Amino acid sequence: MAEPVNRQNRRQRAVPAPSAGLAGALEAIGTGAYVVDEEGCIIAVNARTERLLARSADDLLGHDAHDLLHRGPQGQLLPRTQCTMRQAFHARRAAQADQDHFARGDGSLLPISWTLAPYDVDGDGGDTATLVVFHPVEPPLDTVPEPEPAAEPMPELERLALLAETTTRLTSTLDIEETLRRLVELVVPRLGDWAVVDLISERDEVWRTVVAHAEEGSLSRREDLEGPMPPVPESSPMPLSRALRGVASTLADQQTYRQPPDAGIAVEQRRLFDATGMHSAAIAPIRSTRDVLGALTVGRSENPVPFTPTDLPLIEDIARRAGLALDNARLYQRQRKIAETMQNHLLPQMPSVTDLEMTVRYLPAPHASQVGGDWYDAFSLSDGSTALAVGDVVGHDLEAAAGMAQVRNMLRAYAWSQQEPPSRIVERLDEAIQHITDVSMATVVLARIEAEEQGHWRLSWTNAGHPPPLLISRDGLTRYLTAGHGILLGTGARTPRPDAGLSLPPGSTLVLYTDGLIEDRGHALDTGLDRLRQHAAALAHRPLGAFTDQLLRRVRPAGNDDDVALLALRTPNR
Amino acid sequence: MADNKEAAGHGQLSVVRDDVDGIAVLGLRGEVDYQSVGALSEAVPEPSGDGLRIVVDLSGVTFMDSSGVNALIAAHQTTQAAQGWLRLAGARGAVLRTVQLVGLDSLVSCHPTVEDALAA
Repeated sequence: MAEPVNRQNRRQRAVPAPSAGLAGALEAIGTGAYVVDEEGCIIAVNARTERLLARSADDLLGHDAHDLLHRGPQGQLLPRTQCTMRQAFHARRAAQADQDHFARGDGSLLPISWTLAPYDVDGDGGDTATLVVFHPVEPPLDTVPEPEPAAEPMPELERLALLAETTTRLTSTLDIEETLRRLVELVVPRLGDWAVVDLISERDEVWRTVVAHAEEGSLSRREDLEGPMPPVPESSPMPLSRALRGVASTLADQQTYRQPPDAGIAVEQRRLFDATGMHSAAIAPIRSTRDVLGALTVGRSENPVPFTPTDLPLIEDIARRAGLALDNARLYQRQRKIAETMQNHLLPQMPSVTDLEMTVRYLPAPHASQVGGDWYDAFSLSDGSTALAVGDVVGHDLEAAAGMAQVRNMLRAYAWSQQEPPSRIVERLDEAIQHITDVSMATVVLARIEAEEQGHWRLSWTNAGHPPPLLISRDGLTRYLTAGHGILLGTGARTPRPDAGLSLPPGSTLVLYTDGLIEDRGHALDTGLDRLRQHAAALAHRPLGAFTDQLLRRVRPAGNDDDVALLALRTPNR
Repeated sequence: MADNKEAAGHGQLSVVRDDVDGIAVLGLRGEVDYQSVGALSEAVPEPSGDGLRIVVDLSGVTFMDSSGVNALIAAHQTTQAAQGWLRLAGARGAVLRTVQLVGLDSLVSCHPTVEDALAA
């Protein structure tokens, strides 16, 4: 029952008042008559239609005629895939039925017979609209089964199963690439040998994102045919251009793009048909509730049977489901990107410190849009030494990222302006956090490092409720720097903070990190600390970049849903 | 889990409140995290006239993250404002490590058992 929901949610569209000529022409018809536009929405009705259907013109105009009116013999909603009106409408040909049903405004069912034909509203030669003429008939005495649509391409059960599978497969991922991959697997080889997806970017650029071919049981991509596409022309009647404007689905064959091209897109289409050998294709718009997102093309080359208009409702339906899934994935990625961009812009580039090697990493939380408040920093101080910091601001998403920026910048300002030990600078920061930021709690390690004699480096630090830094000697001996430990920031406690100091021999590696690296729910913190120590020791001889990457890969808990910030530093070997 | 009022559905944290000679004893059982911490915050009594004194029994807690730390600090600040105090009892294993890591033990006194905390 997923199908009707989306359609019914669709708002009534505003339609321009029908021209006097059109209204007059309809009134001249001696039975019910209405006109739908190229998307199937009612754009004009006559007074007899209003009477027969017990609905006012206002209740009809702008509505999708199929959704509003068309019913089965028991009054049930009709799947678009079974709608013979819609098939003729797509094929732009005339059609008629002797026995069908419309829903009246009072809820009753009106047995009718109808005729429809393409209708040139503007008189400019373009068959853009469709005229439907209908009159009431006596219901049949015994129930005659609905005539089967001609040339049914796929058994009904199989169609429904495919549509159900489409919904399930496409809505269970929020990844655009994965959505497209699943879409392609759903339509080829089942419906054709080729699947092509063109997507319209948020900057209105068209990109031929997928050209896939099913051959002997396997799918292959034709990357030579993928890539940027010319812009969508505003009024081209060619199938892909129409689909990319969200107008309607259409069939195309080799002749379609043989005529002189009317726009760049037609040139690309000709290239596609030539390169793939497709003799027949069905092209449908991929739409969300707000925008046209692109177009789906299903093509046949090896399969000799050409597509017919009866195939279009099914492909249109699949494309519409794909549109909803892609829209979800886009929204999700946009939100995630905002948070990630913010975090990335806020985290600094590293200064180059003479003689010291330094690398930094920030890994966002693997799931959801959770960007944490984890951060690192390193900067030169006015006395020529270097300040190092790693911290964690409590909170979620953008709020945490914003809090992180406040804390980091205040720490920079204090560290630069106040030539004091780390403990005193963090005390100032702690006081300020309570009064001039929105941050409730935060942890930080602030250290300063400067060259001593004989290749040694002097490290001094204070720790405000943060996991202890890890020091690894050139020989792989490890040691957690647990001294200098005080309470986290933002508690309002005014106890003095301790400093600690140490001399680092040549070839020492210092790792500052956040708890996402070691914390694993269900395991003691010490388990994570031991794992970090063990792997750091084993990797001590690696170049610093490889050391850091391997450490993150080996130590970060698999089920971790937290972000990680890490700063690693190495004193030169002598 | 019959006494689990707040975290019903999460099934993570239950809080039982006792009064011992005017001291509120909050017995926690389960995991304290972002989802369940409300059960702890809501169990902290309002300050009345004669000072607010609270013992939080952590012996039944197997996991606590920064949300729990945040709630304990807030409770500590509430008691300070009311000329009272907050004490922790029975923290062990991973919970004790968390308390030490963030330095909470330098702000709030920690005791091995509720009896010790009451007698301190």
